[in-house]
Amino acid sequence: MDDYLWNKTGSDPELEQIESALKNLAYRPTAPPVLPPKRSAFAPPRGSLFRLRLSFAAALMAITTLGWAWFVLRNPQPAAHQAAAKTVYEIPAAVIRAEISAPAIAVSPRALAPGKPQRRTAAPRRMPANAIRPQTLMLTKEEADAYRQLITALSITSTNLKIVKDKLGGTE
Amino acid sequence: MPETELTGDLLLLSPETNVRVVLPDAKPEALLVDRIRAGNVEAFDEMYRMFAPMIHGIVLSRVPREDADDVTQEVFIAAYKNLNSLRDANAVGPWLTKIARNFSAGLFRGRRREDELTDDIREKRRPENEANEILGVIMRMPLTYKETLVLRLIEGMTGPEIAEQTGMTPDSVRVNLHRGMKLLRKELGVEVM
Repeated sequence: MDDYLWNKTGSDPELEQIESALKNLAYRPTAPPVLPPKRSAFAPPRGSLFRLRLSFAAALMAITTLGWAWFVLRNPQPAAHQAAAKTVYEIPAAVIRAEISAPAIAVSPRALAPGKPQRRTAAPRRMPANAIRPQTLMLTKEEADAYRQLITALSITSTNLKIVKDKLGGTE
Repeated sequence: MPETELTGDLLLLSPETNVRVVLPDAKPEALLVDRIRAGNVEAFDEMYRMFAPMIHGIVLSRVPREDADDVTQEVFIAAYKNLNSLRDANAVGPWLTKIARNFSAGLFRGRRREDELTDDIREKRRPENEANEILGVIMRMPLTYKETLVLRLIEGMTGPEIAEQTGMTPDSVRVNLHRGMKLLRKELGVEVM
């Protein structure tokens, strides 16, 4: 009986009766569906050449963006332009401080003694005497625009590089 | 395109390198996939004929009976469009099975199959009524049982064929068949027997 259920060998009248009742529901051969055009059906495969091109494009875009940003920031604005700028934008001092003073982590000599596990302790937030003092940068309108554009460009570049990294890593 | 003359082996077209590579353990359906990728429409028709009963069974276990034929064709069109996503050409059957399951579930999510069948039963003649009654009992079973039972009892596939084409293990198929049949016999009682 079980053999008939598994591979249709032997006999099982009960099961054959059920099969007979259900036979009208079975698939009836029909014509295969009309296929869409081939071009839209098969996209180009993601091969190594495709990845190489993608990486190259991303790198080129990053270099171009950084170069453009560097050019905009380094080139002095004409005096007339600066005079015409009426609005002065201010970058928060906290941003500048974060750039100037890197987060300091100090290890105490006692912690470095042999046999003792090293423990990292945060140093007191004290500025060295010769460090550049935190200051507020006053930017003209053009400089502030350039600053925002630079941040945007870096953000776009970072996103693109992440996409490339994900594609190469096979996570996308 | 350079072609290698090797008899006895199946040749698969690698889309990246545009050369043919030999895969001695390739199944016949893998060769079909190769030909479809090369633009051979007849190969697609052949694959359709090979897998249509199985896909129809999977679809029938999820959608109303009158929609099963159309959905089956839609599944094959979807498969054709996404042929590039097929990594292992030897696993066409399990790949099609997955597409059919997802496609059917997406189309008819939320619809109550049993209610429609109950309405059908009132209207149909006696032989149809009996078939619908059995189908209705199968449809109320857990999905794993009903899919296997439909493939076995309606599409007429054997256990090994179901395992081979859907990618399920033979043990799983055997368990589903036995438990499903036990439930079916219990539900039908002596009426159909």
